Amino acid sequence: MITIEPQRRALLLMFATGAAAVAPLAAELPWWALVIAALGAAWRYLCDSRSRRHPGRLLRWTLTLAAAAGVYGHYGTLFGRDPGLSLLVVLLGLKFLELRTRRDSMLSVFLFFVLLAGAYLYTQALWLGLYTVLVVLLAALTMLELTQGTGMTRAVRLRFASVLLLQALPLALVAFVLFPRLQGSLWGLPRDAHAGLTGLSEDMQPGSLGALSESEEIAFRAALPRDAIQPAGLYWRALVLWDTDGKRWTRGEPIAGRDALRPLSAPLAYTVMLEPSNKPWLPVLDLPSTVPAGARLDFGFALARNLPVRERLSYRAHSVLRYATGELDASVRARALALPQRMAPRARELARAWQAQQPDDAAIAAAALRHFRAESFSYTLQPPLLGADPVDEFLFSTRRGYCEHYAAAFVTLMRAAGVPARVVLGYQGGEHSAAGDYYIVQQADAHAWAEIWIAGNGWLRIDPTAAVAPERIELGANAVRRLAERGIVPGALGSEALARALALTSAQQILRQARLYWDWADVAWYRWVAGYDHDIQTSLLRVLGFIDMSAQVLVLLLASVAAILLAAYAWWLLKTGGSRDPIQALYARYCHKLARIGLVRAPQEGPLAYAARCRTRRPALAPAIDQITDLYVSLRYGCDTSDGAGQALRAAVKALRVS
Amino acid sequence: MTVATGANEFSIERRQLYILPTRIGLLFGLIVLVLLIAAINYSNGLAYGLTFLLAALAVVSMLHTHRNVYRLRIAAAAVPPVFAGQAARFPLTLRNSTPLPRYGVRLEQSRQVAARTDIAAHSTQSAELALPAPRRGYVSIPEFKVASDFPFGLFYTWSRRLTFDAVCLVYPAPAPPTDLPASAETASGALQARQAGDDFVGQRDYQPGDSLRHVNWKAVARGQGWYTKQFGGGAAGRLWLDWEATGVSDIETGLSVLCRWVLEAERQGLDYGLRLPGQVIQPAQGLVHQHECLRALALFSP
Amino acid sequence: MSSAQPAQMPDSARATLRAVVERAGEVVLGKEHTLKLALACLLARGHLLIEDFPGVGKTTLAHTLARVLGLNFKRLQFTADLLPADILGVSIYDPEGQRFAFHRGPIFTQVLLADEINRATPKTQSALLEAMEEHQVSAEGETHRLPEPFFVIATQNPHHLIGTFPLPESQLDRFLMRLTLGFPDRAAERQLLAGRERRELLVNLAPVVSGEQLSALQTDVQRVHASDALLDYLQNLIDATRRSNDIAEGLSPRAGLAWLAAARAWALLNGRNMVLPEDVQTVAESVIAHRLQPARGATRAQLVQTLLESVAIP
Repeated sequence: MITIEPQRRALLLMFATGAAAVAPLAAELPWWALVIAALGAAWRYLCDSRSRRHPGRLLRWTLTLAAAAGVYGHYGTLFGRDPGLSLLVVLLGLKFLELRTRRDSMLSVFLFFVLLAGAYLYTQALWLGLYTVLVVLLAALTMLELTQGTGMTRAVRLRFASVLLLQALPLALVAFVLFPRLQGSLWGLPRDAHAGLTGLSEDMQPGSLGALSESEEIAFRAALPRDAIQPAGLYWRALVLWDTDGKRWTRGEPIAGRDALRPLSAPLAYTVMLEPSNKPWLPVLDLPSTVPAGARLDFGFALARNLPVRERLSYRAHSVLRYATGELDASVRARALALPQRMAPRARELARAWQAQQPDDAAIAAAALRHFRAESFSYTLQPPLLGADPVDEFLFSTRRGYCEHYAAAFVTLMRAAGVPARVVLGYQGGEHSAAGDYYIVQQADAHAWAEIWIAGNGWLRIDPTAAVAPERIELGANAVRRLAERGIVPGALGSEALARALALTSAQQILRQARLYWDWADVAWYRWVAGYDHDIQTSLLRVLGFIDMSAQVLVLLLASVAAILLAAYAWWLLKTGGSRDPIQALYARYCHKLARIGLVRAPQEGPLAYAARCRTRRPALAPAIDQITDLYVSLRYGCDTSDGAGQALRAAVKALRVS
Repeated sequence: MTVATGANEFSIERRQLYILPTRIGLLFGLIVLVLLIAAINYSNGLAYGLTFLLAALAVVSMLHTHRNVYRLRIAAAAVPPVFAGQAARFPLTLRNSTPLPRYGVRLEQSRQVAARTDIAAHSTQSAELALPAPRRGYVSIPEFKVASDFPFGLFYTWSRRLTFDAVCLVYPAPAPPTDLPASAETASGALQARQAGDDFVGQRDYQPGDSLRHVNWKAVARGQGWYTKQFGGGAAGRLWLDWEATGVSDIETGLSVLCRWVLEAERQGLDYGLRLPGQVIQPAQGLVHQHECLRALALFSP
Repeated sequence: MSSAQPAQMPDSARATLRAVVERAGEVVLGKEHTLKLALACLLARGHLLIEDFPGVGKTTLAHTLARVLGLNFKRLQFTADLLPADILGVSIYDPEGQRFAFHRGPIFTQVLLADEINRATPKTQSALLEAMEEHQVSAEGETHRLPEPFFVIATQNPHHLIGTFPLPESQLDRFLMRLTLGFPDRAAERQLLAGRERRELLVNLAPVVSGEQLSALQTDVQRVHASDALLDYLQNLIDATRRSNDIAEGLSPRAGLAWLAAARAWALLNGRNMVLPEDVQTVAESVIAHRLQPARGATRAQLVQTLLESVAIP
């Protein structure tokens, strides 16, 4: 083995590659692990540049053990995703101190790939895929640099590495598509593989959605034609809250059975791609008429899975937008009317007054909405904090809040007035992407609304927020936030002024379009790359005409396609004539034809001499030989490079009949 | 008639070229395997992608490694003579007649890298093999192989052992500087350097290089042609370097002394001749003559 | 050579060249190839060395060329007592003008036939060679340009003849070509014997080309196209001379240029405006044989033959 310490340029490239490989992980690892790695690199660099002695073995081992102890101290274990990656980062940083041979350096570069793969456990987004190619290019440059003894300039190195990568990509693609995918994991995922996902929590108290309202994280996407539904009708229900203690609203005990659904319109079919939320809820449009496989329908038409959603999940759903539901039995009715004894005395008083005044339940609800509109209620994402009796405080003193305040107050009022009511938690609205014709629903679109039960109709959706801030419903949570940023209170402006206030500059338009296209690409990426599994592989292969292929056959197919590709590369790379010009090829063909009758051109024989020799031996061929020689000579040795002459030569050589 | 590649040129063809992964390459394979297992375990699409990209990169790099040496054309050029104790240097011409450049091509001589060079597309590059030449005579070009681990060091390709019909003439090592044999030692006839004799002994046909002072101008003037007058019993100003005059019994030492004398005589611009047992080189001077003499010494066998 | 010759050069130039060859061929019998080579040499603005036994027609050839090309011509017989001043001219003190006046020597002509150049002393030879190289004569601090065009056609006896000073090897490459005439074949010899005295014919030989035409032809030579492919071939040949073990020293870059110039002229003489490998091959022996140093026993002609056979046309 040739022993070469990495030269300074190679060392710097290694640092760059290492930094690039660890960058996607940086947010996930403890900061001190990154600092140790950086210090290791810096130490090595200083040792080299000032020709200091490198740290001895004892020191290196001590450092290594200390680092391992640090990781253990931080996590309580050395196993699992986060501790494992932290340890790898720290050790690779310290490894810089003991790079001696080219093999050491190369091994480090190889381990950078493992580090890079570690980032895929956190996200498999499109950007990371593109970034991977960049890191591999950087690593290829590093490996080129480490392979000493070439005088390639930097530009040549970059070009060469890029060419190599471009040649590798098709081969990798073939392997990616054809390598047999197994169903399920080999030995399960590490426990902490899905920490830190966001989603709707399973209960509601004032402020719980506030945290989500700032989040631009995507909750789910729904492939739904744009004209199928008005934006104001996009109510994605996730869970239904029945019980309250005066502050918190919870699901309470599950209610057995299933409510009857009477569709009043044809069901709308759509596909939802749910981002991992670590929660079991599956949002669907009001109201779902079918239940996707693997999910259950709770009483109250909330869809859920038994397991939390920890990877992207796609499901097909059907919803009826106009509907009626069944009768309310006594026990459910009791739960839909229950309020804690001492809760919100003033609200109860108000509700009782409405109960006395209004002829029926629907009128009571209308009165409540009128109340919200008439009194000085306002919609804000920064409501004042509420105390022990949040409903009374909100209704009679602060009067500022957002969807969950209104939903909770409304349901409390309804129950106090004897109208069965419940809180529904989910999402409202969504941004339509023309790129893929689907809606993008963000966590910021999280919403709470109410449902009351009206005799003869069943559960009816009432959104008190819409009474106060119709913009929230019609224009979406984002619009409201943007208005708030400019100091405009919802409900204060007419529709034209509103449209003006919300109009995007052309730069923002472009940015928005770009974001939507990127999202679309990301979705496609997820579908075809990150989520490429056994099922997708099988269906793709079916499209390509390969049906029911076993893993062995797939491997064979992969091997043969790869072999063909490699043979093509080899042919391209190894042909020595290289970019042999077509004129020479034609002339060679002409010589070959004549060689069959024994007139072999000697390598040092000029075209005229050869022609003269052939003419005397075969006078019959003389015209053809003269014509070909004339054309060839003028193309090869003259200034004539016209296509016409080339074509003529091609035709003449083709027409030459030697027998 | 060897044509196409020119005489004494060797082209490394597929059958003469071998390729295997290096230890680094095996390590790389191991890492790729680990990544593959991780990808399968986590059903991680991106990890599959990275795995296959790296594997493909390695395979493509193998093609490039092979191509880097494939059809490289090697020819041996004229070998300059050396003195014993110096290294014989065998210049080689590496010709790349392909449209792609070759990088980091190595010549390996008994497991040692003897030369490392890049060869641009459609061009030639020279390299040298060196071999110690401890003894006078001929030294043949050593066997060597052409190898490369370009681009990433994952694969190593090498040609079968090559050798050429090239020899290096090794002159004897010159003895430490000594005086030229003096005229006093003429008893044995070692030195017959004399002032130009004035006894005219005759004339012969004029030969190129003859001094014009000795031309028989009278004959020229009479149109009788060109003749050179010859004087004295021996050649004028000529030094004979004689084997006997070295006074050394050991053959090699004697040859070394003669070698030194030849160099010294040439340096002083003398006309000198060489007398070895069974071989005589007429006095003359010039580098060609010096080479003649030194060659005789190099190849002398009693 | 063959009918496969693309006609791209002006017909007039072709006709002129053919007329020159024909007219000269009437006087120089049975030597058409050598005649054409000599003509090519002059068209490429090179000096010519003709080496052969006395009496085979060297002088006639030189004289004929000068006549048909319409150039003024001086013949200078070289002898052992010829001094440089006898060729170049001499400065003589002019008492009336109180200054030195330069009296031009025979070299001030368009075609100088340096007959039996190897009979002169090396000093005289090198004076001539220097003037040939520089196209000028320096005397008493003054330089005098030689006329344009200026050709030297030197003849040399094979130097095993007594009383000659062969040209030094290093000086030989001042001559673009070295030709040998050889004895005439039987038919030509018969014609020679039966026909009129050559000298008589020469006197009546009228020029075929004017001075302008000649210089136009020389310009045409430089314009003859040498493609990349052809240059590759030429370079391969030159490289081969440097690599070969049979050749002591390869061709110099100057030799390469000379070779290309001669090949261009040959192409033009054959009515082509592009150089073909055949042109390079045809002029090879006359251009490079006298520039190669055999390392072993082979003759120079053999070396050239081996060279041409061992290098493929790319």
